[in-house]
Formats: sequence, structure tokens, C-alpha cells
Amino acid sequence: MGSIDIGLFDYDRHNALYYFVLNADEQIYLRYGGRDAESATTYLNLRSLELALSQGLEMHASGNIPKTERPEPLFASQIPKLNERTLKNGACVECHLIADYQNIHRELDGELDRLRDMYRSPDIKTIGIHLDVPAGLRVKSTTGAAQEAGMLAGDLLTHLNGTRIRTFGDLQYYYDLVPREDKHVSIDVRRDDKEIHLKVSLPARWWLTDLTYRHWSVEPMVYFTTEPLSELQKSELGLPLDGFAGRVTDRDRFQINAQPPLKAQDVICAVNGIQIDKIANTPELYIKLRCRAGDSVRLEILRGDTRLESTLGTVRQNFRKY
Amino acid sequence: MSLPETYEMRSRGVRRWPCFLLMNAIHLSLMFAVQASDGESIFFHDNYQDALQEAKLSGKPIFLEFRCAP
Repeated sequence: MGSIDIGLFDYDRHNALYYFVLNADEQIYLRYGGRDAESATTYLNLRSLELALSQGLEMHASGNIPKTERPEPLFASQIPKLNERTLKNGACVECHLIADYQNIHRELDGELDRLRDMYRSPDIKTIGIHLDVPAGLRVKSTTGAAQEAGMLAGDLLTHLNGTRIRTFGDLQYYYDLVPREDKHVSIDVRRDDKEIHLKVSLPARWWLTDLTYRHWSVEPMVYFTTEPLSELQKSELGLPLDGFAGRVTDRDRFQINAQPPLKAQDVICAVNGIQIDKIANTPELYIKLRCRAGDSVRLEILRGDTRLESTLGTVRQNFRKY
Repeated sequence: MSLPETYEMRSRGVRRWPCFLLMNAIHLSLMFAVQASDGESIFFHDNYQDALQEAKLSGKPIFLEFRCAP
């Protein structure tokens, strides 16, 4: 593994399977892989793999490969904690460790961008694109923003923000590169032999996914979930309408970290005295975005007519770190 | 296509596995290998430089795999 330029083979390392088709000059033709939070295999399918390989062979046979700038080289040994704890011990370099140690170093260096580095691989279903998986990038149905932009079932996705995409792996990789503050994404589709350009609106928190399967060390684990209050509910409780107050819907056994413990139906209206955030719409998202894993946070709670405070110890994961 | 046997066996079981890095590269066209399904096995290099070298000599593309599980 030490000789592989992982900077060239960049991908979301929390994929269980990921493939590249390339030539001997290390020009990458396409990627095959990608997943959603629900399953590692949502987008993996034998027929779509066959399609991808066919396209790779066509590109190779054509010899018409657009030159792209090679990314900055990166080797596993250049990630200090990965080198120290894994490579030097002769242990297997697990894909997810590469990503997590990179994020640990970003956090230590004050360079961790949680929207970009922690919320990887946004889900295209959030903007209403539902693929016919065996048919590669053929659209099965559309809802929401994609539908509003004019995307139709049967369309074949060909470009994202001007970059040619051939597989779901390509689509998800380049979609992940879209700056989180962007309001639109450009998607070209082929429909009846015509190329059609679509401008798809990106809704608020379009990048938000369930991180449970990722085991990020930099993600503060809170072990509760809330449902955002409506503006009417906030108004009735005298809370700011643009605040992130949420009603507790679920707690798990690790939630003993909160003293006093949270109860279902509690309304968490502030974290460390903060009620409003320009991105977070729930208290748990506020904690994940603004607090450091392992921090204790102060929750302000409305329980019926009672106002109380609870101290919550967040948890830093240590999944398979040696 | 005779690939499902190996591919689906791998993909089915890895849902919750930690993502061990195991990288395999084959220089030969997988489609060729699959088409020759009369018992011919697919050879995966486990050394990237060897795969690159063979691809240079043969002029064939590389199919590079990162996957969970050894």
C-alpha cells in the first residue's frame, strides 16, 4: 500500500467497494462505486458494473482521453497518525482509517471543514434524483428539486457542473466536490438524442446525511435525535422562529451521558446558550457542527411548563484505531 | 456473464464490515476474462507497480479495486 498514490485514487473511503478503470499512464477513465447512508450496496449492481466496464473499454479503444491535471500526490506514510499507528506496525491500512486520520489531522490543525470533510457524499435522492441502478445513470423517477428543474424519468445524466460523468461513482464523486454553500448544480441529460441542460436548485442542508456508518472520530456523538419545531410551535413557546429548537424523539442507552437525562418530548431550545445558527436546524446538528467531539455541552430544556438544564457529555469515537 | 458468482459473494457480505484496504489490480480486460468463461480464472495482481508494468507491455487497461475484507 505504501507505493500507491492515494491522492490520485481519491474517493470517499467509507465505501465498501470502489473501482477505477485507468490506463498504464494512470489516466482514470471512470469510477465505479458509491453508496448511501442506508446501504453499502444501494448503487452496486452487476449490470451497471458491466456497463461501466464497457464504457471503460470504449474509452481505452478510442484513445481519446482528455488530459486532466494530476492531483497532488499523497501516500499513506504522509498521514502521521496513520503511519505511526498502522503502517509502522505492519497493520492493514483500512480505507476508513485513511479518511478518519486525515480528518483528525485537519481538526488538530484547525482546518476541519465539517460540511466538506465530515458530511461526505451527499445523497442525490435529497434533490430528487432516483436512478434505475442497473441502467447506470438512467433516471428512474424524479421528485423535488430535480423534478422542478425539468428532469424526467428516462433521462441519462451526462455532465455535472460541466464534468463528464459515466457512472454513479463519477456522479457521486463530483457531486461531493460541489461547495456546500452553492445554491444550484448544473446537470446535463441526454433525452431522445438531445443534450439538455438543467439547473437544479440545492435545498437547505442538501449535503446532510446520516453519518452513523462512518465512525468519524471528529463527530461529536450525542445519542439523541430531535424533530425540528414548526414556526407555530416555536412561537407558542416563545422561542425564536429562526432557532434550532427540536423535540426529542429518540434516545439510546448511551444517552446516560446527559445529566439529568433527557426524556421523550423534551424540547431542547438552546445549546451552550445558543438558540440560532445559520446552518443547523436541530440541536444535535448544532452540536455536530459547532462542538468538538468529547466536549460537554449545556442543554436548555423545556419539559412541559418546566425549564431546566442538562449537561451532555458528547463522545469521540475510536472505531478500530490502534 | 459469469462474474456474479464472485462479485455478488463479495458485495453481499460487506455491508457492515470495516473497510480494510485491499487493492487489487488486473491489467487485463475484465470483459475479456468474463467472456472466456470456460473455466479460465481472472488473475488479480496485488502489487500496483506490477499491474502498471503489465498494462504498459500489453496495452490493456487496468481495473483497480479497493474493497473491504481480505
